[in-house]
Amino acid sequence: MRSALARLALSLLLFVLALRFLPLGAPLFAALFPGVARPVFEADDLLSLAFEHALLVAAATLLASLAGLAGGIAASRDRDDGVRPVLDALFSLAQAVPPVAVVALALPLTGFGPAPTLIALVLYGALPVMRATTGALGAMPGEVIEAARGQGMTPLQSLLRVELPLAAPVIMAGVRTSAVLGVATAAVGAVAGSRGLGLPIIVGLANGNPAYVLQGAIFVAWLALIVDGALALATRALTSREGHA
Amino acid sequence: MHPPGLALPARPGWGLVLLPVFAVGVAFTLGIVATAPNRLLTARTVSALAAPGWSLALYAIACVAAGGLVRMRAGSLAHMARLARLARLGAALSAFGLLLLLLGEAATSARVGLGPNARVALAPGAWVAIGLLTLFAAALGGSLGRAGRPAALAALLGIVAAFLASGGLDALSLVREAGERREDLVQALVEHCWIAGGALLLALAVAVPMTLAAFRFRAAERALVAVLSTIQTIPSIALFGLLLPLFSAIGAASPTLRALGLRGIGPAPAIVGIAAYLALPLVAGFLAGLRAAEESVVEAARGLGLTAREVLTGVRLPLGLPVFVGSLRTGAVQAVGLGALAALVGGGGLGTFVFQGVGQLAVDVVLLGALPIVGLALGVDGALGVAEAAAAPRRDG
Repeated sequence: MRSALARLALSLLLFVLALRFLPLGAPLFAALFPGVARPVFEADDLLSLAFEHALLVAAATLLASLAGLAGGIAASRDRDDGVRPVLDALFSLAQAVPPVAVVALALPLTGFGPAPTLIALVLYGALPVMRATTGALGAMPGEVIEAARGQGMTPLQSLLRVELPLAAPVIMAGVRTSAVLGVATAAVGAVAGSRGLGLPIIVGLANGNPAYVLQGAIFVAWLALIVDGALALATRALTSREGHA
Repeated sequence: MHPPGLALPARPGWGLVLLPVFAVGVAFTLGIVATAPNRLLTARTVSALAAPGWSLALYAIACVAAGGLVRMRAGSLAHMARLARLARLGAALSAFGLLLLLLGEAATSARVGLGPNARVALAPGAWVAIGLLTLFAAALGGSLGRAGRPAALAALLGIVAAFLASGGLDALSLVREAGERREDLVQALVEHCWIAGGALLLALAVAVPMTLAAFRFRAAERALVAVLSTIQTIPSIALFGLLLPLFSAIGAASPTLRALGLRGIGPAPAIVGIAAYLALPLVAGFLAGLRAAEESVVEAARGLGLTAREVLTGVRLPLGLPVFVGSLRTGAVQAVGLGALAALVGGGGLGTFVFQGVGQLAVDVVLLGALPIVGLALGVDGALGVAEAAAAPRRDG
């Protein structure tokens, strides 16, 4: 656990240093892409772009997790089957709409900026969390719930104190999937004026500068791996604490 | 707890009733059509009450009736319950059809007295109502067994196609624009199918040997999953953008490969990029399919003296078939969606309209690209969903 934390901190430190001192890598990128006049992206501060990227994904993942959790609980609590088939259908329908279409359709409603991307990220991020919540709560052994009831817990108490803590690792895995996908998807938002690490990619595509595209790709993938590692650690911390309680 | 797509109880709960009721509510509160004198001025929502009364009444009655039918008792006999489910789905489809009729009538009456440059668009209420009724039909279709939901969505797509073909929606600017740019649209659609289909074939060609290697050797599985999951963290537009210079270098170096389409501008980078993303879901799904056969069955087959190859082709492949088709379905739907990004690297496809619309901030142009993509994805999902249901072992009851 401690070594995983140290590795994560090191990765984060290297990430920040790489963003800050990218111009030092100019000879490397000039050698990789000889035809490019400006080998390093300097039009904007990469560090602040990375921060805004992470902030957008964090906000979206938080909202998406709350929505997914609520939807998942509603679907698994539903006894007379009014909610579950609707959520199932929503699931399969939402997967047919590509994120870039959501960004493009939200654009005229919200204008250029982070809003269209936030909408798309929340929409897509809620799905894995909801699926994980429904799956974990649905697979809960009947004895667990009966034991909780036997101790005099109300259904709400059983949910909050027994079922959700037991389902937490699976739900967290859903949050992790959602956040990692979100980091990559947020890059597409740059076409709709969302500031983030997608900016070098879009600028590179527009100006035929593959060096910018590569720099954007490396930093986005790196950020995704950091987020993945951080959430993996958080899951472990969460579950080991539950184990002691 | 039942797996998704299996039977609803004979009398589903209130959650489903609310969908068609809301679908009527939003039409009145958020409006169904909006008009603008020309492309530059902002659109003004027209009250739903301006639509011809008969079409409004028909739509409202159909929605309320469909909602009521959901709560009606179906009787105790099994075939009666099935009949009730079919009747509910029929009512949902009728409500959807009457919504399109209402939209067409409302657009026609809104256009009266406006100049030739006037824009008649769908208002938010219309989109929400379309979404709610689609969800309603899909949920009710899901109660008819595994193939029910895809079949219900196919029926919805059929209704839309019928209305478009009959000219019932021609008063909408979106439909007019689609008519004017019909040739471009058809070409983009064909390109999109080639990109998505080519990427799926390429991904399959790579995923099958990868799956077999991973199935045989544990180390290969770990390495493959690590590599393929890392690819998923690279944003798709960046991957396409990086393949672009790579392909132009290849094309410049070898005229033969260039003649085969391996050059920078064109669909090749997008096809390869999409295939790279599809590899993970395909390999993961195929591995799950190979492991779908219970160990006792595999042991029994070995006990009968079957060779490793015979166990694979005679036991594991047939028993895993529904899982294989299922992962193919996931991959195909993703391929259609990712195909939208091909336009960013000059690969063509329906994304061309999406990005053109984003550039001009023109909703109609975005919709011209986005709606066919959604329709194509739903169609592919539906067709392979029916195939998946057909491949699944029959369970009576």
